[in-house]
Amino acid sequence: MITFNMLVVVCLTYVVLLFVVAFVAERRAAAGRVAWLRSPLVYTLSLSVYCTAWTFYGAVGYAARSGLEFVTIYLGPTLVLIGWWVVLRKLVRIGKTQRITSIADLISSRYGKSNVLGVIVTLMAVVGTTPYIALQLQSVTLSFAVFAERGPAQWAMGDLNATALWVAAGLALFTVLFGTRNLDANERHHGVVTAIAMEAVVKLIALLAVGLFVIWGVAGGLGEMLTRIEASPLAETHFNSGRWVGLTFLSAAAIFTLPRMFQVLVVENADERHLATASWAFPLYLFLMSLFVVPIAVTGLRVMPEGANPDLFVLTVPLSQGQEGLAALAFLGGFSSATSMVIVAAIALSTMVSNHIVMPLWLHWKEAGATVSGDVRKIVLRARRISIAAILVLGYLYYRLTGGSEVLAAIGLVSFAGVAQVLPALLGGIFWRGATRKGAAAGLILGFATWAYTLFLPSFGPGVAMSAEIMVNGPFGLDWLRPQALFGVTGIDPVVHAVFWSITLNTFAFFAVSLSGFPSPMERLQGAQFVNVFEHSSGARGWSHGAAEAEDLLMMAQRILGSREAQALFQRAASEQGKAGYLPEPTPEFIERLERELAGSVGAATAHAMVGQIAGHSSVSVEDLMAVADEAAQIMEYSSQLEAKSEELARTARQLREANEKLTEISEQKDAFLSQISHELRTPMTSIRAFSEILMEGAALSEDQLTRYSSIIYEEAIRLTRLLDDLLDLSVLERGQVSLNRQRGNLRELLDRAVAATGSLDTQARMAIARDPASEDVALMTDTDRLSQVFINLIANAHKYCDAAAPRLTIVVRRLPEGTAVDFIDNGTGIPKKSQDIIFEKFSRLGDHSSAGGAGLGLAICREIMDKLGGSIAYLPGQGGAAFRVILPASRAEAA
Amino acid sequence: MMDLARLLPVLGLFAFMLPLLGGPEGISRTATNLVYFFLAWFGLIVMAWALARRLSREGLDGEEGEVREGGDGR
Repeated sequence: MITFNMLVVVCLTYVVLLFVVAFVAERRAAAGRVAWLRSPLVYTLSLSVYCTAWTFYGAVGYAARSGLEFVTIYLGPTLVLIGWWVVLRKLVRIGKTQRITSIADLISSRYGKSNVLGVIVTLMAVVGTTPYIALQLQSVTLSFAVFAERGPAQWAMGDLNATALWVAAGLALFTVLFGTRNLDANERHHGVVTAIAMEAVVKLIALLAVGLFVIWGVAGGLGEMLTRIEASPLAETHFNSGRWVGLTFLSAAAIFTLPRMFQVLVVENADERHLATASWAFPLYLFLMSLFVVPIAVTGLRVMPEGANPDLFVLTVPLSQGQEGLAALAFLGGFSSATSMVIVAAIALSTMVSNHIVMPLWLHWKEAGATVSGDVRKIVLRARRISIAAILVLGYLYYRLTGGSEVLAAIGLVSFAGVAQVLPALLGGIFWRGATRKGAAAGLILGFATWAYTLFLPSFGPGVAMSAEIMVNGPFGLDWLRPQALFGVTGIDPVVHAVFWSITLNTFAFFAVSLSGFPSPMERLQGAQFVNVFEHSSGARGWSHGAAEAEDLLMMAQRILGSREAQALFQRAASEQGKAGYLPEPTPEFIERLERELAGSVGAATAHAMVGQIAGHSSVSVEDLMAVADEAAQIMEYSSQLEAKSEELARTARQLREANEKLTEISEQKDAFLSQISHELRTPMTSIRAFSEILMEGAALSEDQLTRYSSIIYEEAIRLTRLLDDLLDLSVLERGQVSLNRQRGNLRELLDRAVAATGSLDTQARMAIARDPASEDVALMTDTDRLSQVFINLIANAHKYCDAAAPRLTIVVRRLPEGTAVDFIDNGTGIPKKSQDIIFEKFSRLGDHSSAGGAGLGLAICREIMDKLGGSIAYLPGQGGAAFRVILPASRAEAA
Repeated sequence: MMDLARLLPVLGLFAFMLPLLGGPEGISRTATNLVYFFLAWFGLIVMAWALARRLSREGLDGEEGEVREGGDGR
């Protein structure tokens, strides 16, 4: 006999297992071992969030009430999946090329990155999904109640509510922990997806086990089962054609318009080829899920007392046969179905809410928006966490307010019909270039309003949200506006009626408004991108040239993508343009690419607005429009070859120009240096000569004078030696004659030594040095003396040149794929962009810092040393001061 | 092959809607229907499986650029 407490323990153990699975998956993903996590099998299993508690428990109840009709809920998705080549493949490709983060993002991005559409779809999704979440909470509490009734202590309703609250809180915790860990540029959640895949297996096994039990354990074989079906109240099937077609259509639409399905199907998709596997494997999953539904329903009707709730047959049939273990398994299956739906739906909705409602508001309130300091990622993640909690609170409140099971049981189809309103705008958007933003908005709003009026509000029951008077006679006595008999069409099922009218009016409005208007240039560009995604996957060019400063873009990108990712992106782009360093030319192509990367984190509309604040208003040029027009396709073909060639030339020319500029500058510097070095050599020489002459003449000099003159000669000679030493050092390094003395060392000790050695330069102790000793604990195998020479040079430079009122030097150690990076960042004015390229050249001194007194060899020596040690040193722009990054190669820097 | 991929859902739709025609008043035996639906369903799954294998093999050979592009998206 399973006691209630045992059930709670089983349940908690299962939840702990879920957390562990998600945690391990995240760890593996972080370590880069994702081959297994991204297999087609996991993808297919994750699609099973389609099967919620409503289908797990409800399908049997549905079958017990209306026979075979339950199967339509699975037939629709089957048709869509086996037809993947037509629609799903295109959706997934668009999702990848445009970095789509949610279904609201897809619609907003398609129709010219319009945030209004994003908001509409988001609100529709929230309204349609919240009752569905309430339904899941209810199914979990009801299944708990089945076990509780059998226990000695009777449960009060209050305990049920407490259960729902605990379940909601636990789900919120899980979702926040694994759904908002990071702001991944492509919105993938390995932990969540793996946990969902595990839950998919649990619910399938549970339902199959119950099914096998009723056939071979209760009925005693397949033939006997068929006989029992013949003898049951379900023996005859009354096909209601309207409902049959309507529900198949609805479930087919739901498979890609439900926010949670879009999330697992498109956003979490790692590889387009997985779709091919899912195209047969997911229908097979649905097939197995529904295989035993009718047998369970028939058995339930036979063995359970009159009036037993058929929605709970999956649990109560095994219990009535004394199969406690099987019932517990079935309970876990139902629990899995409910939790996986809630988790994925909460992630999908929170992404929409944060990207389409919170971020635009935040950008609006902060006038300076994209250019102010601070990490935007934190704001986005916080917005998502709060949205997740808010969505679950809403679901819980809805559950408490409606309370009764009658209202909620019907909400599954109501919810499907609500989100299906996105269908015309979605399909129209990816297959028809003439679709416009206004058309989509009109269709969505009209369809949604019709749905609310004919199905959603009446679903609360007469007299709750809508008075019984309106239901019977229509508003203001207008007979033809009765919610369940629009335009006088009576006698059809309310759900079919609502679906028919809402989708029809939606589609009509969408086409009529689209045809009567004209898409804006931005909509045309996006439309062509979406409709012709297989022909050209290259980016649309919405940005005019040269309006943006690469450094400003880098600052903004760092705050959304994180400094490491942003720097890597910029560096890659720069090297593709044939430039060294971190700042590529802000060409329209580059800005477009950057915008798309950002869209992966904050959605297309927000990313567009943020880039727009820096790059100015986007413009669409004549060439871009030509690319859209089909007539121009042939010209394009020809000119693209020319373009490729001219691009190549432009790149070479840019490299040559850069090389030339550098050479000219260096040659000028060399001249300047030669005159300077002769000056530097002559000054000490002159004084040495003058004073040694005085000494030679041997006139009557006092002891005091003698000491003073000879010490002058001595100091001047030292200065000369130092200058010559530097020159010698550099030429030895450059000619590669240096022998390195490799030894073990620790990065923290080297930095300690370097800071101590430069302490004497800062006699008034003005410079504050910020370090993080924990991250500096890196074991090294290198020439530690040479390396500390580099560190000393960089710190000394900060002492000498940092001109802030309260100078501050930050030393940051971080791990990059190419090795350990040590950043030295001060808060001075930094180095102007035009000089950043030449500071590592010999003899370069910026301006005339006579106080600094060096000959301009320090950084050149540093570069040579890092070169010899197998690492590198570079100037890091966009850090709010002068910043240098030293990279120690990975193989020689091992973790301590 | 790609045309077949486009036709398969139409075939499925036909198979799933066919029983609506059966019986004089749209009434038929549940057990028979049950067996019919699951057989038709399974048949479709097998066809989709065969088709997916063919398509992904052709995709790897014939449309390499396209496939690789999809792979680069990450």
